[in-house]
Amino acid sequence: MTLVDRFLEYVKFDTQSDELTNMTPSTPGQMIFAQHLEKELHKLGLSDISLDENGYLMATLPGNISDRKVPVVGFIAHLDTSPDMSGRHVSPRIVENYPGGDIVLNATDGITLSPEEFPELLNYVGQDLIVTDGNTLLGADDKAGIAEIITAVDYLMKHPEIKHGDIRIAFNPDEEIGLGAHKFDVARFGADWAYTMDGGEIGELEFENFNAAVATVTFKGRNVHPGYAKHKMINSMRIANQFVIMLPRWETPEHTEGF
Amino acid sequence: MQCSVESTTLTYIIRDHDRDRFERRKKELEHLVRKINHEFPGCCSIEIKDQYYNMREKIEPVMHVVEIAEEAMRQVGVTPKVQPIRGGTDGAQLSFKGLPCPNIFAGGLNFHGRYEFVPVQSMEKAKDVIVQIARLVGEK
Repeated sequence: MTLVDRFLEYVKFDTQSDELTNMTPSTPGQMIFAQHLEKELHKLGLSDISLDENGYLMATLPGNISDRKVPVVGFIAHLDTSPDMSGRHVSPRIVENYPGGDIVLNATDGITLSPEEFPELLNYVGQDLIVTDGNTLLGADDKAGIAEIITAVDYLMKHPEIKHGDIRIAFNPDEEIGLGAHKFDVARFGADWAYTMDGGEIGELEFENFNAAVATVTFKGRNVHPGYAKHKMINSMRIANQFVIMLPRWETPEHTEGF
Repeated sequence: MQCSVESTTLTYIIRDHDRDRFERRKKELEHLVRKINHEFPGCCSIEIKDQYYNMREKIEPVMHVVEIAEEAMRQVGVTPKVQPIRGGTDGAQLSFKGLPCPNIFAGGLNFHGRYEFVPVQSMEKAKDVIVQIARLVGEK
């Protein structure tokens, strides 16, 4: 099976995650997809294949170096797709040898992928682009990552002349709702280090992200009938407004970038 | 923002790549709350919860992990583009759980919507990078 065949097969599984279910995986489709992948890994002949009740699928490609100790490296991708848009009935199409210009995704609804809105398209003239039919997301985030990892280990198995240590692979649920790592058993995975195959454009390599916190600020007021309110009413919205005005105005996402 | 005359709640997210600046931002908010309470005693309260941290502090001691990925990319003809994520990632949480875990491209663009697409050639290169990392680690 080729990389593209794998990818086209994987996007058929609806694995949209859901922030509100309080279950792991958050949606049953992710477990169905994980079970499908588990079978594929068995067919490929990988070792230590395990799928736990939370939908974390792990496996090993054993190393072929026996005369010394080689670090164990892991590769990780996520099973789910974004809650922001449907991933049901994804119907992809390959635009071969993209000539530049608009790609009509859906003529009926007039949905077009255009370099005017997405100038990055022009970096890929002459390449083969897998696009949607305009009704769903594609799910390259992160089924491209899964297809790449499985195709790479398949390649390594067929090329024993390439010497490598143990390779661990893992596919986890619910990355898109921020819970992909929560039930990830690092000890069970047993790698010295790993890479998530979850970045965007070709070349991206990331090892920095935000420090993040959420702050909840509460203001208490005192409501009195407006006709009798003089010196009595304390309007919490007014005080909150005073607080907002004191905040640094330019340190917001619409005014910042980079580091 | 949720508000009535009786009670108003503001919810903010605080983000910074630099840990010291991040801590200063949180202190600044607490300082403003004290200022408000100086004028309106007992009116204002704040609760700050950390969500996740920059994985850089966990990756820096093991920089060869990044260097191997860069070398693998160059060897398969891909120019590495190191950039900060303006958000979080599973790899950050895993790094803080003891598994250093940078993020590598999978090749797609316009994630999370109908305009998402992926060049086949980028996927092939990502697969090549994985094979090359396995080979490089085996050679070291």
